[in-house]
Amino acid sequence: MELVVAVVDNVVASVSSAVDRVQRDLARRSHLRPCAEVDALFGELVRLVAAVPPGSVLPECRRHGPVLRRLCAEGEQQLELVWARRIATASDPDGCLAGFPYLDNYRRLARLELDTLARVASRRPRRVLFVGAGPLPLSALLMADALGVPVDAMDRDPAALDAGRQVLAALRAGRVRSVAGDAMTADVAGYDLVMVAALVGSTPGAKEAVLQRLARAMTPGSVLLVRSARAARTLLYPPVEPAHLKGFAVHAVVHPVDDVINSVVVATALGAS
Amino acid sequence: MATLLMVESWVGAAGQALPRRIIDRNHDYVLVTRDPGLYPATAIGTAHPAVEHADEVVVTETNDLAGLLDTAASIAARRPIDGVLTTCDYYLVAAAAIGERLGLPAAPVQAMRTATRKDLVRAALAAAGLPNPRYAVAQGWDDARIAAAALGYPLVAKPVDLNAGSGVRLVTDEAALKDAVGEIHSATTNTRGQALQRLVLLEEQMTGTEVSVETVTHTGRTTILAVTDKSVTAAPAFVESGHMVPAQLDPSDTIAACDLAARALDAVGLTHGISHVEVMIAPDGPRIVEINPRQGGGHIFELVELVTGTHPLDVLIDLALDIGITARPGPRPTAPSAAIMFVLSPEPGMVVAVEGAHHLDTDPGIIRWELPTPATARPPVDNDAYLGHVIAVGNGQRDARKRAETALATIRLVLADGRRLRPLGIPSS
Repeated sequence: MELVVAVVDNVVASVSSAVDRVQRDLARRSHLRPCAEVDALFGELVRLVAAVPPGSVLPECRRHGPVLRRLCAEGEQQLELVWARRIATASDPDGCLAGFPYLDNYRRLARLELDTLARVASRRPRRVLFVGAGPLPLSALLMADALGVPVDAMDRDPAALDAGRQVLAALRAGRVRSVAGDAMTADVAGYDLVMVAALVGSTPGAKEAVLQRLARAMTPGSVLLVRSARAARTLLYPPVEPAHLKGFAVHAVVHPVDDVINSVVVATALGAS
Repeated sequence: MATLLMVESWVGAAGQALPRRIIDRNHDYVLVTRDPGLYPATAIGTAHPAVEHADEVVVTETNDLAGLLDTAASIAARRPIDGVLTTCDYYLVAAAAIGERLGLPAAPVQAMRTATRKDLVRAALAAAGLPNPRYAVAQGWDDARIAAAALGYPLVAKPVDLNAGSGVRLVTDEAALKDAVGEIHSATTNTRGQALQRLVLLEEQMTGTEVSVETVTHTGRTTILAVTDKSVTAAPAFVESGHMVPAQLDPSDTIAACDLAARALDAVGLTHGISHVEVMIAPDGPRIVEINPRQGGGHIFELVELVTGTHPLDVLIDLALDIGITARPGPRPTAPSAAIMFVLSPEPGMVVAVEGAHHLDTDPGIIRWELPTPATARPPVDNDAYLGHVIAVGNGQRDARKRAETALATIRLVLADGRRLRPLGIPSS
């Protein structure tokens, strides 16, 4: 047993120093637009955090988390904007999308979410809202295809919304509609499934505010699916804390141990009490 | 990239996981089924994976072996077929027969016929000189009564050809025997419409610690993938409450259980395939409870993957393509131990809420939990009573179960009438 613990500690120690290095390299860069160096750094970061065993916590998470998450969010936004433009202007948009390096991750996460919903949700959703769809609304697209229902892809950033709208038009995604809106104010009562992207609410306080607002505004009995992160993976995405979910009955929590990074939480809104 | 022939499928966990694992490995498959409607859409309207991911669905009467073999041959004549497999117990013989007909890697048909009949397995073990409980096979009530009297009560009565514990009863006297035999005689077909033998296997009740051994057999050589134990709730229910990999056993018992499992597969002539062999570690040595020449149920394949890095269904795919386990790239385990605990209510009722569910998130070793409400809590007598589950991984070989139980001990099931109940079987015995 000592041997096993020693091996786990070694992984944590080597990941910690590597994360330090990647963070310094990322922070030094003048931009985080996709290019060979930026792609390699983010790729290495994803591999590093995915290699940390699920039972161990990186001591660096608390210290580095806020900075790294900001860098990752910026990098993700840049990557998606570039790919959104490529897909929207491509002569073969579907073929172009197939080259998106994280397409498989999106698909695997969507499958995990659909499987979890299928086990704990009791009926087929009729109207779905995806909060924080971003410039490349692939999750909304995958959900609409799998469920065969209309999905509203919401974002509060006009640039992201515009890029997303062009992507959806190029891919002829008829079931997905881009809608401008903010989770803090949007009317969400008409949706029976509300999905919340991992980057919505980048600090614990903001995350709590969004989820507590949804708890008040969602129709009682409607389903919330929120993406989260656990342990080392919180270096990439902010975690949803149990305290953020007051006003919801949580039915399932899945923390992947493979290269799917986001955790998935499924709950139903209890209604104002 | 290879193309597999999938002969029917279970609808549940294994049947959902296998199609994804096939396409994730860049293979495709032709589903051969008597009725695609056997694979219904999920509660949220998504298609069943067995149908959704099939490159082609061929509808034919899969319960007619001769016709099925002709259909398989005609499929293979128009597109290359590289292997044949199934997750469903009731089509293991058919898959083996297709393998033989098309010259694909598969278990010998006769061995698979033996391995899927509990009475024939007992006879094969006896012929090989391997230990058995005392047993008898009975056709009618008179046979059963005489055999039972000779064996002595308590006994376990089983149909010879059903799976997953269906129709298995502990009988303590002649009245209970009559009920058990009546039940076995009244079932004429299995859930897939195949005729049953309606034979009763009577076995001396075995006592001890029951474990399951996941095995991989290729070119006649058996490799042990993992040994899984199970926890049961305390008396009087004795419902299975969870599993852990690796089994908490003395190393000598683990070795003896693995050795017996491998010898048992050899005794029935199974030279190819994955198996889930249930072994009782009895005071006087290990005994075979059952051989199941397919993947384990109850999420066992997920636990095995967490601890070994090897998913038994990936091995099933490889074997169908004649790739043995030693030829696989180095596995990447997640943790030294992994456990699942099923959530059971000690009393029936309507569970309207779960109190303290947030405690399930305090231990980073809890990697998944599901406990949907509202839910009907049935009496804790069998697997239908499961309300949900918790899966944990441990930093040591023995602590995954404790982590799952510690987390579960903090929650309360809130029933419609206001009762607040601690889940049954925490801690397990």
